[in-house]
Amino acid sequence: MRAGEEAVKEFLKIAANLLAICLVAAGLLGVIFIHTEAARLRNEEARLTTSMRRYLPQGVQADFSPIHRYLVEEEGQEPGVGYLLPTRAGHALLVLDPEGGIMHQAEVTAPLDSEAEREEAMAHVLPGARLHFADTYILALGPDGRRLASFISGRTTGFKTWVKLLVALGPDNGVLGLEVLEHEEDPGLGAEIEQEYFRNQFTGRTLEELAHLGVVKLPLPDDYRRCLERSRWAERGLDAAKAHEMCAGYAHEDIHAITGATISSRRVTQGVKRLAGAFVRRMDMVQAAAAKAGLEPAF
Amino acid sequence: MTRRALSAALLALLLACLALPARAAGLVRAGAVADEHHITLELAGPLAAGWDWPGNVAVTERESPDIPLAVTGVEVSPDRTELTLALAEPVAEQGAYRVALRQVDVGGVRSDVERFLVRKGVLATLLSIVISAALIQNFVFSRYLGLCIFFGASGRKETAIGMGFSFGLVMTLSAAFVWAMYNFVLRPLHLEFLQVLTFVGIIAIFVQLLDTVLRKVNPFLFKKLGVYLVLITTNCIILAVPLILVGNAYNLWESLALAIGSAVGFALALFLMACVRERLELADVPEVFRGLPIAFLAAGLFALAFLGFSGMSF
Amino acid sequence: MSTERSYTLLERLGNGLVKENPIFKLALSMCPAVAMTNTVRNGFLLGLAVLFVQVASNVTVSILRRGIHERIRIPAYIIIIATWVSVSDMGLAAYAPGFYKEIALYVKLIVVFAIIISRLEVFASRNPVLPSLYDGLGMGLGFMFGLMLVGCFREFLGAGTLWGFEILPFKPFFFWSLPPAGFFAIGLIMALFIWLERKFNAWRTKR
Repeated sequence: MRAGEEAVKEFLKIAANLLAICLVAAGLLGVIFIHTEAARLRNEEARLTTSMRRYLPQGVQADFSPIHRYLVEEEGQEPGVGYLLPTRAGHALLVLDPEGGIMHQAEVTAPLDSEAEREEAMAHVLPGARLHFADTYILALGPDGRRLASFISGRTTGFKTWVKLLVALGPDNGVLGLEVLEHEEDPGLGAEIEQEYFRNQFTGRTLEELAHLGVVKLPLPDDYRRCLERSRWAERGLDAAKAHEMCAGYAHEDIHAITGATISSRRVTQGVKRLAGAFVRRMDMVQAAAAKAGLEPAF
Repeated sequence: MTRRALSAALLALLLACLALPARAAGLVRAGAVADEHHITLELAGPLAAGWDWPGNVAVTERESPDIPLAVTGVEVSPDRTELTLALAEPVAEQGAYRVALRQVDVGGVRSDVERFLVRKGVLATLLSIVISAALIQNFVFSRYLGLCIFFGASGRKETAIGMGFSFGLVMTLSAAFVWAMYNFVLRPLHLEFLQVLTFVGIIAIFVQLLDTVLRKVNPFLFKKLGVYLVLITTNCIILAVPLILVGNAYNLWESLALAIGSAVGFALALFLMACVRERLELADVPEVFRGLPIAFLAAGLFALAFLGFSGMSF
Repeated sequence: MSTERSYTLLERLGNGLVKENPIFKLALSMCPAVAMTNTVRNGFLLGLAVLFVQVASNVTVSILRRGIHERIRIPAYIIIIATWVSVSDMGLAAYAPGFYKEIALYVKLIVVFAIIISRLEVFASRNPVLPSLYDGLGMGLGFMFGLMLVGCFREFLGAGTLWGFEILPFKPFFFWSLPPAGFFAIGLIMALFIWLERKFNAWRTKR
């Protein structure tokens, strides 16, 4: 009896000891989390803005307007595509059916800065519908409201799991550049999609060209590589004019696959084609629908 | 007797639920992505003659119902119950695609628009997770995790098997609990930053449990495993699996599939390595290489071999 | 009960770097040594994270060594390590996101590195704060040194660069950049360490 009581007391003492350590640890983590989370979100946004600014003309004040795209599934209805658009008056939600017809439209006045706020605002307008975030289009608008560039973020299957891409299109929908935001490819092989000599092969392609772009398993010629590695133009004595002269012949070739990473190269190329094509189609539909709905989009 | 019968019946019911593919009540019975450019559809009856496909077939990705994929051809099987759609752009096996057939007459039933969602069945998805975790992305030879325990426990075949088995047990139980903990406690309360702490805690508890249970139930195995049991807690894989299932937002079945796959892969790696190391002990290895260095080189050769699985999808 | 030896910074550094090098002598925590050493920079970054966690955990356990009950010391150590790992994970994600993306999974896995918990058990729970700090520094630096050594070997032979700086304009032997080459690199370097140790011991006995 005595021994049993002793054992229980001992057990309680140990459990209390462990619990105390756990609580202190959790508390410490909570404090650090609150401090670092704000910094983390700010840093992520700053990184995105910095990489986007690189594709805009120097010295021009640009305004970044995001359009968030959602998949909207309602009972008994066709699935629709919902767009959260910036308008002159604030924001609006436009839900279109696959052909571009308007299923729902509403003005939205609630704050839309975070994912949670956006979902709340949309649930308010579309009660009972299942919402599924798809992607975000960011339009860079100049001071006169003209579109300077469009940034499409989306993901595509890579060799391993996903590859998150950011495609920059110019005002004429030609490709300005490609950034790889996240990937889990093998270092030295698939990870080479981050390198300039791969990404910059897309720069300067028109939308037409992009639709028919393929991937070839040919090694990259040395002078083409030198033209592509723009960050090293200065040390190699090149500039935009000389590079253009040297590599004009290569500008319309298919994409040269990365050595040892053909599948990654192919999948990223597919991804870029798909994202750009889908964006152009959707912007046409959205602009037509917005005009019909009487909304004044801010782009 | 009745308890066993009841649990057997429950298990059978569970398996039946998993095995039954999503049978649509409509005119299209089943569909699958055959290869990169083809989707096959199985109809509930023979397709009436004279159906013209251009303009009557629409395929879209599930997430993008507004972007139609270009269909370049439709082949009808000789008995007219199977359709093969040829697509211009590549489709992914893991993707989900909405197919709409217009103005079809199947087995005498006419329909204006017949819709079907083509995607991988539940069992097939789970199987592919298991195979991926076991072979294609083997945790030891392709992800390079769990190496300390790997080199420690691969000296003998028996230890390898024992270790693999206990690892599997701990892994499966932990995966289930971690999934529950993350989805029912951490996420709703926005406490995701505590994930490392809680996962490690759960794993440590299960290892302790296994330790106590094994001591009583099978002291022989307990003696054999000895220190390795405690080492499971400090195994990279045992924490990597929860982190991965949380990162990929797997549901409960997918988490269990991942756990089982990783355990099978780990046991396989251990066993293969044990076979090689037992042989190496009898070989004439240069003095400086004896023991761990040569084991590393052998592991490297295995890793190269497993590189061959890379990129396969099942 | 601490031993009579006095642990100085230099002694602990030497211990961690050479005598009981975590990777090549103790053969602990080799997962990152195989996977994350394709470049020197990756090895350095991960080594830095491990150094921080090792030192922080060593110091914490040393301070609390009388307060932790004997029966629950392993779970307690794990909680302490997990806390510091979460701290470094969050810190890196917030203030060095570029680096963080490259080593994300491995930072979280630091919790299960055997080297850290073994140092806590073997050293920090029995010694005062300052020697534990030195030991943490020694082991952490030894680990970083190990990772960077393998990284140098693999990056130079595989890509012709060191820390991203181009040394050779071509890739001498691309095989070393492939992930499986980590195994071969560690096996060879381990054998080298053993050989060097033998030579050193032979030289010492000759004297």
